[in-house]
This record gives sequence, structure tokens and C-alpha cells, in this order.
Amino acid sequence: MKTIKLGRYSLIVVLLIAAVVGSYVMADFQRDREGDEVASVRHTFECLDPEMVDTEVSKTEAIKVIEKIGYEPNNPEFVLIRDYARDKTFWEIDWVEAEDLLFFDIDAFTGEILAIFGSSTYESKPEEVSLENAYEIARQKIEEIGEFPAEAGEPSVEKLEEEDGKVFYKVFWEQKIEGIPVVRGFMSMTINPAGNIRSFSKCWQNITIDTKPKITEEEAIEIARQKASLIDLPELLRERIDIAENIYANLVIKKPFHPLDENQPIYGEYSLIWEVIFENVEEGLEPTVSSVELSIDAHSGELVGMDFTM
Amino acid sequence: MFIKNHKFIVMKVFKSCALALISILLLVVLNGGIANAGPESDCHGIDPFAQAAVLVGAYTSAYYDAFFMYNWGENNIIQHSLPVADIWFFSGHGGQTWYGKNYLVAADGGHIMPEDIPDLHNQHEFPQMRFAYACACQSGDPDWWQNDLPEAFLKRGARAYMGWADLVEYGIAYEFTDWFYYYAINIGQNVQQAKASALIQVPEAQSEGNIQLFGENVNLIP
Repeated sequence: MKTIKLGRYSLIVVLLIAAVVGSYVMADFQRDREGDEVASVRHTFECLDPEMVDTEVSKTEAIKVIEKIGYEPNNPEFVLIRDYARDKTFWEIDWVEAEDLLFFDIDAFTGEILAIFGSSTYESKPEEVSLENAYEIARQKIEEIGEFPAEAGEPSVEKLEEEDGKVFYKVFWEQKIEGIPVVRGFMSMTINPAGNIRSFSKCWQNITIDTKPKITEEEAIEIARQKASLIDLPELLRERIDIAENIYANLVIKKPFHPLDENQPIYGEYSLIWEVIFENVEEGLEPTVSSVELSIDAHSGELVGMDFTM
Repeated sequence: MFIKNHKFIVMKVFKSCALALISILLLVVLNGGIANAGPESDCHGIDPFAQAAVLVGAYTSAYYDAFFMYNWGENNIIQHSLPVADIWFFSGHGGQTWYGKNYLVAADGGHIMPEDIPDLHNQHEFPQMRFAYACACQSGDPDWWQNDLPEAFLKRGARAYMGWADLVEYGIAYEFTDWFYYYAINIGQNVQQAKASALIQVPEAQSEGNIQLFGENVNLIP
């Protein structure tokens, strides 16, 4: 009897040890898999609770904007989105029509149409659009659905041919303020050969900014060199700066990007920026250019953001 | 006597089984999620790309057991991540050899070449990898004359693959990735729709990074 009891207890002990050891092994495995987890998720936009935000434009008013230009939303879904990259709050409204997904972005404060996507089934006839007249047709369409910015300059026009043989014309305007490019400031329209809108996207910033820099390009480059040695950069990016073959600066208006500093909002405020670029060229059949950009405030001389090629 | 002994043995077997069962249950309780393992997503980031991996993990964790792996070396990615992930995300540097063959750079500096991609069938939950997205420069640049990353992933079993054909800045890639997974996971669009929708929000992803999608038009919601 004693032997049997001892056997039973031994079995319990062995199984318990197995359970404890097993749990440690699995916990260790989980730790290995998870690595050094970064504390927080940083989104570039956020979905808002419409009950918690006072918008100037209601859902009903947003639908009226869409109906006014000839669309008939059928059981639309609404999401209120705050876009930090573009400084816009908009209603995203989508519905399905003849198996096509359609969505509109309507500014929740001004009622302006910010985006249209998948507007209609593909039409190639009659062939009204060509590379020569795509700009005029796109401009006319934009005026029909909203305001065409007076200061919009010459656009680029491109013919897109998709794998299934469908052809589209894309007209793209880059926003500039007194000749200085606004990063993420653009207007884009894609039309099919019959002249119907396939997609539209507008991110035209209504900002007032002093466009006269207080520091020169040379000063900005020198500041960037000095600041680069003081900030905590990953080895590969530091190496790119240290051995840079070309260093130059572009004057732009942008929201500085903060990819490495979790304590700051992911984007700063629109500012006049010297983008100081440390560039390296790798030779090959297709030479590649890798770079690190340090954003220097053109008025204060502060390092306010960075970016890099992946 | 025989009957008694027989009963005794049956009782002992029953008690041992009960003890074993209790111990197994204990093991399962201690090991938490193992019993509830679902489809798996692996989100890789190397410093400073960890933020993008966290971002994607936050989206995919709605439907997948999302694993975050930072600063993993070449061998670990090839041997312990790619063969088991149902959907796979990599954020890091990418490049090309002088003759145009593209590769991903692991945290230890090792290059993950197209020929290193292991068999992607028999994944964690699905018969084959559903979707791989290598968020790195030149990861989506196929060449007709050689095996590149897009072909390698599809040939080895991924149903769909996405990557950047050109050099891309982290800011543009990060923003596009945020919108892409929002449309693919939160809104439930298939990968083609999600890519097109995200391009409306971030057109630079086409004009500057030239984001490319290959393979089937899959849905990321399992």
C-alpha cells in the first residue's frame, strides 16, 4: 500500500513540476516573441465619437453636400475622423453602389469636399479626355464640386494604364505659398477617358505664415550638423549623416514629423522649415539615394523634426 | 481476489487519469493564451521602426494574436517568424544589390534575400500565409529577369504581398500604413480596396514611394 501511495504522490509531484516548468518555458517564449514593446500606439489620425465633438456640419448636412453634386447615397455609413497630418476633421461617408465602394470625405466644419473615391463604373467612351485637355476638364470638375484655389499653379498631368487595360488621367497640383512648397499640400483628380471623376483628393492648407527665413541655408546646415551630434540617433542613421556625400537644404512649409520622440505629438505645427538633407548615393544598375532629413525651424533655428528614407 | 485486484487497478488508473487531467488543466491555466491561440500576425520593427510595428499590431490584434518583435536578427525572422505568421509585417530598411535584387535588412544587419524566404504553407491557422507587407525601401520592386521579394513571397506560399517599389520616407510609409490597416481591418475592405482608399489620403505613397500590391485580392479579416 505504501508503495502505491508513494507512486501516486510521485506522479502528482512530477506533474506539478512539469506544469510549473512548462509555464516558465512558455512565459520565456512569450517574452522572446514580444521583445521590447514600445509603450504607446501613435496614430496619424483618430476616429472621434460624434456625440463628443461639436461639428459645424451635421451628418444630414454632409449628405446634402453629396446629393447636391448628383450622388444618391444608399444606406451610408458615417465615421468622424480627425486627421493630424492634414489638420482636418471630416465625415467619411461610404456606401456600396452596383458593387462599387464609394466614399466621400466632407470637412466637418466647412462642408468642403475633401475626397471622392470610386465614383462610377469605368467608362472609356466617348473619349473626351487626352493628356492635352485633362487639366481643363479636371479644373472644371473641381469648380463644379467646390472651390478651385486661385493660387493653384501649373499641375502635372499623367496617363495611368492599369493592369486590366483601364486608362485614367491624373492631374496633380502642388500647393505653394509665395513660391515655397507646402508639404502635404495638394489637390489631385483622376478622371476616366469619358471625363467622369474616379477619385478626388484635396489637402489645401489655409495658413498664414511668414515666408521670410531668419536664418540662411548655410546656417541651417551648420545647425543641423551640430544638433545631429547631440541627439540620440540609431547607428545606421548617424552613419548616414557622418558619411554624407551631399548635404543641402530645401525651404518648405510643413508640419514637422517626430518619429523618434514618443513624448511629442507625432506632428508639430505648420512652420517655415529648412529641410537639411544628408544624402548618400549607392551605385548599381539602379543607383539608390538614402538620406536623413533634419527639420530646422527657419525662424528660430531649432531642430523641430526629422525623417529618413527606409 | 482477481476481481478485487481488477477493481483496484481500475480505480488507480481512474485516479491517475484524474490527476493527470487536473495537472494538464493547471498547465493550460498557467500558460494562459496557448489554449485560445487564434490566427497569428507577426509585426517586426527594428529600431527606430518599432512604432510602425506597434501600429500594425494594434490593428491586427482585433482578429489575430499579434506578436511584436523588435530588433530581431536575420535567422530568427527567417526561422521563427516567417514560417508561422498568418499575416506578416516588417518595418525596417530595405535595399538592392548592384544588379537590382532586393532584400530586407534585419536588426543584426543581416540581409533577408528573396531566396531566404522559407515555405509559407502550413501557417499557424491558415493553410498558407494570407498577407505579407514588407514596409521597406525597394521591397516591392519586381524584376522580370530574376527572383525578387514579391515573386519569392508569392512562390513560397503567400497569397498576397505588398511593398514599396522605390525609396520611401518613413513619414509617408507610416501614414500610408496607418490608413491601409484602418481600411483593411476596421472598415473590412479587401487589400486592393484598402490600398486604393489609403492612396486617396496619402497620394505621395504612389508618387514618391510607389507602393505595389501583388497576388490575390485577400481580406485580412479571418
